[in-house]
Amino acid sequence: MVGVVVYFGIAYTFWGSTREWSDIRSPSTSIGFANFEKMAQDPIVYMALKHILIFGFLTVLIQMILGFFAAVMLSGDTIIARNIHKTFIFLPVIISPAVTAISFRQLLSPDGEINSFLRLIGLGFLQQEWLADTRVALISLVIINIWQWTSFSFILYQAALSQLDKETLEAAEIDGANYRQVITRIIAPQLKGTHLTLIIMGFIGSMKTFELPFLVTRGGPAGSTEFLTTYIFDQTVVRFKFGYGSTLSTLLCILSIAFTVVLLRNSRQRNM
Amino acid sequence: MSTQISKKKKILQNVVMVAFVIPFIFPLISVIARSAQGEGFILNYKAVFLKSPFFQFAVNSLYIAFFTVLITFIATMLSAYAFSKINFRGRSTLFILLLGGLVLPGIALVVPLFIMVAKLGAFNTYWAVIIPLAATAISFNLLLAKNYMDSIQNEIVEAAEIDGCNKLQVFIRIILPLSKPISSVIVIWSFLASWNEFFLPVLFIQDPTKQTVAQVPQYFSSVYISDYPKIFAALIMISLPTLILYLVFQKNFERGLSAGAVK
Repeated sequence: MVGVVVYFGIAYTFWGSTREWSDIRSPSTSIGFANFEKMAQDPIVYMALKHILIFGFLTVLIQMILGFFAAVMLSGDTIIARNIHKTFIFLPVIISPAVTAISFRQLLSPDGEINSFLRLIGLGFLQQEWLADTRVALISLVIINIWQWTSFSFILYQAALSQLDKETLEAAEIDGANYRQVITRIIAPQLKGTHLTLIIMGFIGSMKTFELPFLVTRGGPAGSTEFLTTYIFDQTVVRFKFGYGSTLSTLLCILSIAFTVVLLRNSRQRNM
Repeated sequence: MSTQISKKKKILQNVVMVAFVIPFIFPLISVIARSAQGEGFILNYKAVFLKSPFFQFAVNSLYIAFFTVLITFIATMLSAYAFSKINFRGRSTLFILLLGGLVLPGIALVVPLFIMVAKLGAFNTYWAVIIPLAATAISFNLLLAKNYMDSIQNEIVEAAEIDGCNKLQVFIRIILPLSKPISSVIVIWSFLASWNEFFLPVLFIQDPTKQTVAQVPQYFSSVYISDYPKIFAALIMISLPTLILYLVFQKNFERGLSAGAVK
């Protein structure tokens, strides 16, 4: 059933991408690959791709670092009330993107709580017009995404840490390795699989990101947070350009699949 | 001497950890604080209950979530069992094809979904939301569930088969009871996906009485003025069921997610 829904979808999308199609109820006419040529010259597409790359790179990197840090910190028994920390870090994941979006739109407003908080802890110089400034809007989305998804990295790292061989760690400590060396030389390299999973999931996630830019910034200000997904929505649902929307969707599918295949290949070769 | 140093270290680590967690809870606290402004905590929440169709929308959302979870659960568990414990031709190819769903963005399927829903005459029915939700939820859950079932020893399955169990009996009597942690992951994850879904109901359901909880905040905002304290109260009401579900299943959920995600 999944197969039917998803693969019929892909095939239909590709078919649709070669057509001029302005009313969903009326038959479409074939225009060959004209839509693809149009896409290759569309500056918004390149802008969206750039945003996806920046967004993906920053969110993946920072989420991995924060998640790893939290997992290492909470794996020992020095921290008091570990379960409460875990629950707090995990809570954002279960909250609806729609709820997150509406909340952060208010919290990030110029007189919102985030700016007051920065003033409170003496970081007032970091205050921004988070969502209205074209230079910061994308970063604001990155921050929201990190807030919501760090726990995912955290929980995967935590699981991987619990499976590490305790004897290797003890041996390293006996050999005189200090805390930092144990983490960077022994623990981190052994978590390769987890790193890779997080990188793949993270980049796929950033290509799929939709609710965040759509509900928080509507792709604005001035297109500074336009993603391929928001552009597709705009073209299909708002402007009824089903043909061109399908072309964009095809691009998105090809990119996601290509990215995954390349990364998986690479990792397999390295493991051999 | 050394215990003193380690005590200092311990305190420092705890302080760092608390500082680390604060940014994660600060937005939540702010939202709760905002929901108490304006007419005050009680009146705001009362308004969500009485002046918006919160209850009706919650029932609609529950209906959608129930069937999404049910379909996802049955399809995921059965196919994970097949992929993990039964040898059949084209097993790995089919698995990769199904996982393809993992990388595909839902929004990329908007046009074909539109057509399918229109052709099936499913506009304004909950099935137009349930089927796509289940279809997109299955890939990720299947990956986790298959990984989890791989860790169940084949010997147990073989022993049961020698004792005369058929495949279905093995599934019901052996696999299911051993899969409790991953089951709670699937239930929670698919419930989250459907309860939190915003767009499919907006796209495919026009009847205003059939909308879902994600639409409740709209009742307190208009073009001219938005009653933010009540909107925030609504946001918290929407999030409560998922929060309770998570807290109830927390232990199993974390265990299942760990076991399913590590490979």
